[in-house]
Amino acid sequence: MIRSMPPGGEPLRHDDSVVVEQVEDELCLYRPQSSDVAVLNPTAADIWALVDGKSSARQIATQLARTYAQCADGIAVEVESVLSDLAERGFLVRD
Amino acid sequence: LIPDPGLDAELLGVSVRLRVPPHLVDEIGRQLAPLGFGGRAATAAEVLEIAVRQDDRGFRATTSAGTELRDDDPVAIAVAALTAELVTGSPCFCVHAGVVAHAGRAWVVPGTSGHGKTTLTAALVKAGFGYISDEVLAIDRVSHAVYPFRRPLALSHDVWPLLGLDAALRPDPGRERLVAPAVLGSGGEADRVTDIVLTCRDGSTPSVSALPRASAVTALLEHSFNHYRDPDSSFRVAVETARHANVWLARYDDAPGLARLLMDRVRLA
Repeated sequence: MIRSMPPGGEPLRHDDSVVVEQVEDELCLYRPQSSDVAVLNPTAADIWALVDGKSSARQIATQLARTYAQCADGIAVEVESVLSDLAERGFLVRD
Repeated sequence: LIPDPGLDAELLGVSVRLRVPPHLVDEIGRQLAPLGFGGRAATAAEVLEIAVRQDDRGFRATTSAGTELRDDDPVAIAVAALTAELVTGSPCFCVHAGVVAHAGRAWVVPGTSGHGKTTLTAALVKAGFGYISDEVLAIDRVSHAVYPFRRPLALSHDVWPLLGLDAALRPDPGRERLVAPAVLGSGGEADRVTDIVLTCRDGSTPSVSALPRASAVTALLEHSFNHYRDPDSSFRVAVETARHANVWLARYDDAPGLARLLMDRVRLA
């Protein structure tokens, strides 16, 4: 079960206010309302890039697994963790 | 009513007039000269006025936010009021940090009060870096130039011997005394931030290791005084500053030891 997804499984999307800047290998997200900064490593940045308001966490994990040539089950844990954290902090929202 | 005499300066992008009791104008002007007071009168259309007044309980100044500051030292009051007004009111992106310079490069140590930032800044100046500020990194939001804020440093009883300062002037335990920057070393000039040092005072032998540049973005915003004035611009200035700087993690115990290590590194570079 992917914790970041509610029972209905609605996908997440980027909060409109988030400002994004790449700094070397890492992606910096800034949320002006809370002055919160999230620094994403390359894997977390890939997860962020796959969040499109349509894909479920499972679909994101599957797509990422294909990119990294790894098992989706293993990657799902990391996807879950990243999505949960970013949703809790308001960088990701549900419609 | 004739207003008290004014001491003018341009600080952190703001024209400031400090009104002080007439009998103290020379003394306060002399002590605040490293900040830029004592030059020509402010000509800007808008001038921030700060008044230091004397009453039977000592000296006081009231900030525009309504906070009343009190001390028995008029210079300490002037410095505290100036700092409080400017770090929030400056159009620059202002970060709580010590700033020193070497060969035109600005070295920045972000940190909050009470964690040894002023002591480390003083130790860096003693070790040969030029003094820019013990309190604020002020970056122009357009040019990214660094503004100096060379206020006197408030050093406590405990750090006095660490820095080898004159024992006869050592403040009482639990007290601080303002020290003119020239007592520690020379003033510094730098155009841009080139090195950001994130410190961890964990009792280690001094060591410095490289960190990813992105880690400085978080540090600069976390320690910013006025990011809320223009959050978008603040984030972009923090990102641009981090992109062009070396970012270091410094572990240390005593400030002079770390200062010597950093000076050795810049001399070898």
